[in-house]
Amino acid sequence: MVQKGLRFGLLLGCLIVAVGGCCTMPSYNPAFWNDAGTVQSKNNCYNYGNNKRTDTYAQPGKASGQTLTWGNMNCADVRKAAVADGLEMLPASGVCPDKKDKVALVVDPGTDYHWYRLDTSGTWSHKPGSGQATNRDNSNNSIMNPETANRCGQWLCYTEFCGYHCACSNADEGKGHEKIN
Amino acid sequence: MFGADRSTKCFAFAVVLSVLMLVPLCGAAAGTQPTEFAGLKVTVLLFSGRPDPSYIIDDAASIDRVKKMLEVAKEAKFEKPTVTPSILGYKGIVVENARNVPGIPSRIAVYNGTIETGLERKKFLADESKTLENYLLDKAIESKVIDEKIVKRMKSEEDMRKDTH
Repeated sequence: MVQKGLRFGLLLGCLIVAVGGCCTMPSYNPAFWNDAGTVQSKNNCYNYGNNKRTDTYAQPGKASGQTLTWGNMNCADVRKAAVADGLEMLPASGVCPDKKDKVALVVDPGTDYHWYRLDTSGTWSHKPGSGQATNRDNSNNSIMNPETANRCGQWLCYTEFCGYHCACSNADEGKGHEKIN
Repeated sequence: MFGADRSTKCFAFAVVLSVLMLVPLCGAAAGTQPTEFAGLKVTVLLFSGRPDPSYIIDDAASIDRVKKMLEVAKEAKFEKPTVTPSILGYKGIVVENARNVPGIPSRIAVYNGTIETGLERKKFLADESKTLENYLLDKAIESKVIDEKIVKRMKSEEDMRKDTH
């Protein structure tokens, strides 16, 4: 009986590994994203935050059948779309479960959204659109806290800090486990 | 908890299953999409999450103007690998010449009075009066690909600049 239980547990564990994979925090490794070619131009902040290369300029909710419009460029709607994709809301403990990675969402209301991710170094990094991945904010300072980082640039300012989510990332760049598209 | 042979079997099973899941995707990724226009694709690098606005320049007069602006720009030397910064907000403009329009480089990037041309062998040019950049931005506004809200911000910044001069 015990033997059968162990076999079932093993099989289930294997299936989980094969389909979803284990979550691990990413390190800061911008070279993978900054290829000045396909990876850089076709992967945005949502790809980078989730550490998942899709080459589709992934949009929150798209993988789960939702389409965000200008009117949805607010914290509540983008968060809802990300949750539909599988990203968890950060628990009250402030710690992501199952070794998931903490990601942060900010918005320029009615205009655009932006994501940051926490790296193993304890600092944050991001990828502004089709630009290069970086661990610097708009003042060229290291991002110790996305809530206080300079998030204002020319014609766009991500004034609203929406909160944190937990994403199933990977130690290998571009191979996160969230189902985004 | 589990023996080494079981771990090996588990790993092998996971690998086989992953490969089987990935095989159908490989064919789709190998396909290439044909370019649907005969001209220059201009993308204004504005957003972080949403796709950036883009438009097509396909009339001979506009292509000729771009060509002439590149011709008059002076060569410049830069230490940085690209002119487009990695910041939030406006990051410049990229012109892609996928249809090989004669006299135009395969790729042009423009930001803050600097121009970068080519892909592997890059050449840098100075355009201190931002002639090309402003021309491409004006055309983007004309093409109505930039949201009204952002156009207002662009215009109010321009008005403020004029007031201070």
